Amino acid sequence: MLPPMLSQALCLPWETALNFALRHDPATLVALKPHSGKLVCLQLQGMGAVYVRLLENGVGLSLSNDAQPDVILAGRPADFAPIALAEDKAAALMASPVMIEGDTRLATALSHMASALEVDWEAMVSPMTGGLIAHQLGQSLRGLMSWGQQTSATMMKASSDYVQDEVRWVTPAPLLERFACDVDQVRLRADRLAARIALLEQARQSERESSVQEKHPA
Amino acid sequence: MSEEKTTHFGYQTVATEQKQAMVADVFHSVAAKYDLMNDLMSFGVHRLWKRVTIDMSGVRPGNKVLDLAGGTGDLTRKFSRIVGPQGKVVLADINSSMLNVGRDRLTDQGYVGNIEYVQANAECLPFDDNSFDVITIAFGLRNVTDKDKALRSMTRVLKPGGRLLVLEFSKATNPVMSKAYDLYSFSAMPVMGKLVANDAESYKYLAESIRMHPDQETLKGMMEEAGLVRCTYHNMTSGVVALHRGIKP
Repeated sequence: MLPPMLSQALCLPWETALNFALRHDPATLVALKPHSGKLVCLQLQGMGAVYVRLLENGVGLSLSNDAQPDVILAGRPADFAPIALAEDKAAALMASPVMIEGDTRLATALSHMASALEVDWEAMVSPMTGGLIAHQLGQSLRGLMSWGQQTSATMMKASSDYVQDEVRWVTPAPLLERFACDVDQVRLRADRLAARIALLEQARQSERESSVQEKHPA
Repeated sequence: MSEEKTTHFGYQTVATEQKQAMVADVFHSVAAKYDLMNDLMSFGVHRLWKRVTIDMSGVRPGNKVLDLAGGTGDLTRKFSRIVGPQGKVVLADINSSMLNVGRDRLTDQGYVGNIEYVQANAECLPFDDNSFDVITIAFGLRNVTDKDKALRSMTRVLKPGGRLLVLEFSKATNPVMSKAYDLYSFSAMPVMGKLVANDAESYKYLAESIRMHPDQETLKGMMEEAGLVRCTYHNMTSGVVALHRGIKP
């Protein structure tokens, strides 16, 4: 564990940057308000814990805290990204390997906030560059982000089609689902059959016992 | 012939009843430039010391906190955001000038609603027994005339299970750091005080009062003597500052 002073010194710039960004996203600040004062602990596997104190006008970060966290989210850093990107946060949170301890509603609300985060970059840079340049920068940035999103989505789709349909390294999802469904059906039928055989065995056993009793009454 | 009780005021020995007024004069004099001087003298590190104090306080929403000798309200501001509207923070200081600066600053910044301001002497706190979940005294205990009495008073108003945190200058654990710190505090600090706050004497007192303050182990013993349990301390910046923590059983 890092000495408290060092951990505070490490957290301070991140906290300042995060709060600076949050100040330019009023919607997230409004969403944070009902959770003000609550403490979230992110247990990042192989990296240690990060405590996030939710406040009315931002967040406080620290690497140690003596208060009991309201919710603990434990997992690998890579496990958290799919939750933030998923449409159904609650379902994604439950299905993910991230371990949740404590207030799960708070965890879902945080996940919603993270994905809805929309920082007004233009407003952020305009005091330094002026409105016109900030607008141009903002448009370029938005264009770049939009291009990045489209390109990554196209790349994902093309790669998926290639490995599934062209080279057939991976079974397509619908086929896999149908196969899994068939396996489930077979398993269910086998279980039913086993139960039925057991029942028949039991009936035969009791019949045998009653016939023995009839032949040799006590 | 009655023997007059004496105490320390920096390196001077003064009558016990004089110390309070002398300390008051120091803080009346430095109140306006207190925050600026803190930043200059500690190179801003006092902010990290205070952040550690907040994290180790275990404070939660709805708690009642006493920020004793709270001065210009650094800790109160942070506590106020955490305890929320259901909780309460009492900023107490014996010095009216410091309290006024703290109250004006916090009010101007919009910290209202869950903060109360009380001018109080740490030795006889005007609060009911078992009133607070957390009490902090940051850089204030060394100015108190009767430290044992103040610690007993704090223990009295603390709820069972509540925490007392004492953030105070202490004894540097590293000999090199100790020498450098001595040199800095006795030569640079009064000069800075003269240049910025136009008061070299108050900052000379500050340096002297730090040397006269009990070291880490002695203060820990005093806290145990006052009735606190599980007393521990954490040295920061090589022991230049120590954060003591004790729990009321």
